[in-house]
Amino acid sequence: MAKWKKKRIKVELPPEDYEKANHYMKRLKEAESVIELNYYYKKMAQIIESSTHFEDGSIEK
Amino acid sequence: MSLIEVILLPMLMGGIGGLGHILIFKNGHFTFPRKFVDDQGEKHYLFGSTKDIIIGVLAGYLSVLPVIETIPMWYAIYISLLSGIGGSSVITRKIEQNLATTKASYIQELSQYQLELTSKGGSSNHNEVKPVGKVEEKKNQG
Repeated sequence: MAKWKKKRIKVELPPEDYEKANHYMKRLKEAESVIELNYYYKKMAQIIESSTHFEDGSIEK
Repeated sequence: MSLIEVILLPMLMGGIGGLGHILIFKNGHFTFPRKFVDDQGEKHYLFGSTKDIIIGVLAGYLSVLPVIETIPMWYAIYISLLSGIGGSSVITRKIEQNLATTKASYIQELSQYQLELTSKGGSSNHNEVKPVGKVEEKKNQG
């Protein structure tokens, strides 16, 4: 469990993106068609790709 | 036999069977049909739970169609009701399995990211998330 936790990548998001990401994640879990599923996955991917992130909690300078 | 007995009654019973399917297999979770519009403005129509009812109606009718003249009415009602309940699960099983597998792979892909609110001194490094096609390809290989 601890090993798995270490591998997670921290993604820091501004409040509006964070809310959006949570909303999209919730909708992705509730999706009832592949169209919806792909749409919300792409949205999540866009948010994560455009975000500030730290691998294993380290800060890249 | 009248038109109602031959066509409408099996369809009605099939539809009730479809509702039964929602109650039994989906824990009574009913979703209404809706229109889904994406970023490009493309409209997609999602049937929701009405899909199960429509399939139930068709299954109810088709199951008794070849034998409707030879069987008693109570038996036609019985068969079409059962077909309505079972029809949906048989027909949509593969679609729902695929959906569940894709959903699981997407959630797994996204679960490696821990979302947090912005703190001071962050970097502007960009993450790389696998595109939809790659995740599906990976899923098909595995």
